[in-house]
Amino acid sequence: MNVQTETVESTETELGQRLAGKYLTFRLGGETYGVGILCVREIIEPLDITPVPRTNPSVVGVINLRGRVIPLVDLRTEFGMGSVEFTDQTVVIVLQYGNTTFGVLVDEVLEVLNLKPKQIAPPPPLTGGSMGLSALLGTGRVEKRVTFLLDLSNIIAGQEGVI
Amino acid sequence: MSNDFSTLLEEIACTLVVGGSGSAEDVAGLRSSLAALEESLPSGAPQALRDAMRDCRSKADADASSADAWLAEVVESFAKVQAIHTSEVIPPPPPAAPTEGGRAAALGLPEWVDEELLADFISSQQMALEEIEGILLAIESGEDTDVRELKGQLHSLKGESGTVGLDDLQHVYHAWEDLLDRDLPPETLAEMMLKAQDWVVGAMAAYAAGQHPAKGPEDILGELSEGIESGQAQEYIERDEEMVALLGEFHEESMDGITRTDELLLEAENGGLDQEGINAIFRVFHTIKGVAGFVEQPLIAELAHNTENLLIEVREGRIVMEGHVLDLVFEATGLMRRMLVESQEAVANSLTVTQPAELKPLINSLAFAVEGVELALPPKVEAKEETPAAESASVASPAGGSTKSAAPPAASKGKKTAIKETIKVDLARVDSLVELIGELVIVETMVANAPEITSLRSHRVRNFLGQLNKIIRDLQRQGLGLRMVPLKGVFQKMSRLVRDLSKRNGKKVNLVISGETTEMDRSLVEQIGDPLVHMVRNSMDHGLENAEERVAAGKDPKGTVTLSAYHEGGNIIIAISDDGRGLDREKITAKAVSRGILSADAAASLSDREAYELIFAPGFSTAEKVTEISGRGVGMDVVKRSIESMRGRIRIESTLGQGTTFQMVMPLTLAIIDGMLLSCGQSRYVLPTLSIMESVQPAEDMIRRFADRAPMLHLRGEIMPLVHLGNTLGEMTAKQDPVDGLVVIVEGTRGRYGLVVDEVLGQQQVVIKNLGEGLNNAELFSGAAILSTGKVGLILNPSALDAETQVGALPAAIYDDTNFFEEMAG
Repeated sequence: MNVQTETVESTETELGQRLAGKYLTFRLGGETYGVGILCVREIIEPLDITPVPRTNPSVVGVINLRGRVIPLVDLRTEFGMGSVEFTDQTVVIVLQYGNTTFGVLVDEVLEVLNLKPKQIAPPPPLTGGSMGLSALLGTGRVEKRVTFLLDLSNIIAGQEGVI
Repeated sequence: MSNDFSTLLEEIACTLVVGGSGSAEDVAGLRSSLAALEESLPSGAPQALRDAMRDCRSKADADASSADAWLAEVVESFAKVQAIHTSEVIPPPPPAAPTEGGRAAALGLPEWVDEELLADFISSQQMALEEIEGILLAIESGEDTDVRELKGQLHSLKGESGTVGLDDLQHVYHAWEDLLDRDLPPETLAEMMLKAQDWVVGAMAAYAAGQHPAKGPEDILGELSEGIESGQAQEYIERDEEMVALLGEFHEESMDGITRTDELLLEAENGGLDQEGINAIFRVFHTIKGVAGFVEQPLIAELAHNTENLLIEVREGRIVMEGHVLDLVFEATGLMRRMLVESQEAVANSLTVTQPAELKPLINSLAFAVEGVELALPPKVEAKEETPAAESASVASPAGGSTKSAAPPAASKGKKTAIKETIKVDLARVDSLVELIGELVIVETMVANAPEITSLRSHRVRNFLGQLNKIIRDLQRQGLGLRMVPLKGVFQKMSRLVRDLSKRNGKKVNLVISGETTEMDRSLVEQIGDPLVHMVRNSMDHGLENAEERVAAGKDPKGTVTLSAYHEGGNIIIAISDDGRGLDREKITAKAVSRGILSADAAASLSDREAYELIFAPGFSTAEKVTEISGRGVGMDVVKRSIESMRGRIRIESTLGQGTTFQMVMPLTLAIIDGMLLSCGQSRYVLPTLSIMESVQPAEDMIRRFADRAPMLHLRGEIMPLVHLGNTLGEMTAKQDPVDGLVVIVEGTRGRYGLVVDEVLGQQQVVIKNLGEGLNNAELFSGAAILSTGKVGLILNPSALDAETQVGALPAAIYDDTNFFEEMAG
């Protein structure tokens, strides 16, 4: 969020080194996104979702993850891309940050991508309060493919204000 | 007195720096402190100080436009007072040649002390002090010194001060002498004594100038007694793991023993302790002594040893366990409990254990008591925390006062404690076991209901499944039982509390306890303690009248408070009754109206029960005067909130002039509730059975609609609002007309209402799970549960749904577009 244009040159390698590593990439709309592999607990099918009425619109409901009740976030709604369309490929990525476990609904899971420091660039100088922008850590470029690298640790905690 | 002035000044300065929230209470408090400060201005105070003080007070009394501006002004003018005070007073204004002949008078000394005597006294003291300083420095440098000589000198100095009427000085010498009796490490001892010496030297200079010392004796006395307590500065100490484990066990077991002893002592106080009971107390102290020696806790061992000695005399029948002796043993258990807690903390922080100031006097008194001599304990400066959340009030109970005012649990009288074999298990392991069992139950239901299984026609498989089901149910019951503990421990603390309160407020009380073996979930038992303390205090303070009032009302002067626990339905009821004055409906409503809690019209239309409930409103207190024990207007609302947070509720029954009963309806456990499974549109919801009164299939003529919209249910003469669950939750397919569905009558926080649902599917025990983060604002639900289908079911929160009746009940809200749209469209 505070990685802005003026620091592009000086922080590029530092940022690259910090963010280098393995990412689970997934598709949301027409673009590819990635989350750090260490935060991913598992990938499950979106079955038996219990909607929770009158709460955050981006929380589609709760699911039973082996006896544990976890919330499920629709990343499309969260990012202001309309709501999820369930297809055969729609899956839930279960993420764990600290003690917080939750699932995110994505259109399709792609692969695990190993990014080297020089393949990582800071986020482009986007402005405006667009949803999801604060979760954008940087971009990964492998040949011509671009992956938006995300830190989703705050999307659950930041829910209160969304309503 | 100038030192009063200094102390007050410092206090106010602290308040201004630390506090200063600008709340009405702060403002009032500050104003009165400033008034007190002005009054305590020393008579010889310079005019500048007086002026500054007056200025400050006028600033404080003025009503400023904003609290902040007011505070800023007061702080500024107060700073002036401080500045003048520090420059003028602390280095005493050089006495312009102390008016000869006036020094003794200025000091307020007795008339026989003339100028010459005072001068002699001062010079002889100053000489002695110089000599003493030499001895102190020798002690500090670690030289072997005979403190007996020092003690003698101090003693005679003390005597001299007494003869010239300098009481302050005498007290300081006394405390100084006392230091030598303590087992303090030489460095600390020397440091403390040097402090005392400094003060006395300073005081001598002041006396010579015809003044009292600037630093009052309280300060130095406080420092000295603090030094005794914490003087043995806690030092870092490394204990090996084995020792820490041993200490942990020692603390726990000793605590158990002390709790048991308290119980037995309360019996003894009621005259009901037999030889076996005395032996039991003896064994507790004996065990503590033995183990304490082993785990290197000499102080605890010493206290245990001395108490044991006294108990031997009691056991041999040479001393009777009553009055002074009983009080001493009470003191010993109290101090022992405190020392155990302190030692536990010290161990946790890898520090050495310190010696409490009360230990030596108590041990002395115990030793004298063994000889049959009654040695009064020094009055306690403040009530120590022997009982949970004891008031830090300064009402010292006179030792050996009336001790027969509190009664022990009658039901436990004469009961022998059976010894069972137990093992200690980490609570987390029990919890994870219980959780696993919960999941097992769910999976078992899923397996048994799977179509592949149900389509099997095999009797064998069905039999096996039946057996499996039975065993799993047993397992679940046993598993939940692991977390259950009896309420006895909590009730025990209440008897101690009643005893202490009754000593303090002079009301004679007979506490009757029943059902203390009733078991409850461990975490609930832990949480119920605080609300219970509040309730018991409330009964003792507000419920019971004092003896004269009781006699005038034709009652036994001794009040009765009953504490009981029993099962009712799937719940546990913990009830506190008193036979006191009862709740006065008129007084309560009048107070509520004056506090702006509700309007006079609303108050008049309340039922008695609703009127009683007002005492739980925040900021409500019915006591005509605020007492130190209870009645600060906090408490009852806190009680209600904590009970509700445990998924319980409080019922009140009261008859004016005859007494009040508070019933806390508690669930058996926090983790599992009885729920009613409801269907509403496509979804299923769980409603806690605890809050359901009944369910009805309404006929058309039972439904009334206000303004064609807000539906109400007319049930047996009572009109209650209806909350349409489907509309509230946006279930589009829910049945719209209440007549087609079912109405569940629910007890909400503001009364009953009807919840319109499609169907009631049946009752089910569910394990409550958190909804998880990010759903904190989903207040309509108190959690989630995994249903037998494996799907998550949401647990409805009846008190939040209650608020939905407003949408129906207030016409304004109906025409509010957004609300209306939400209600209709979900």
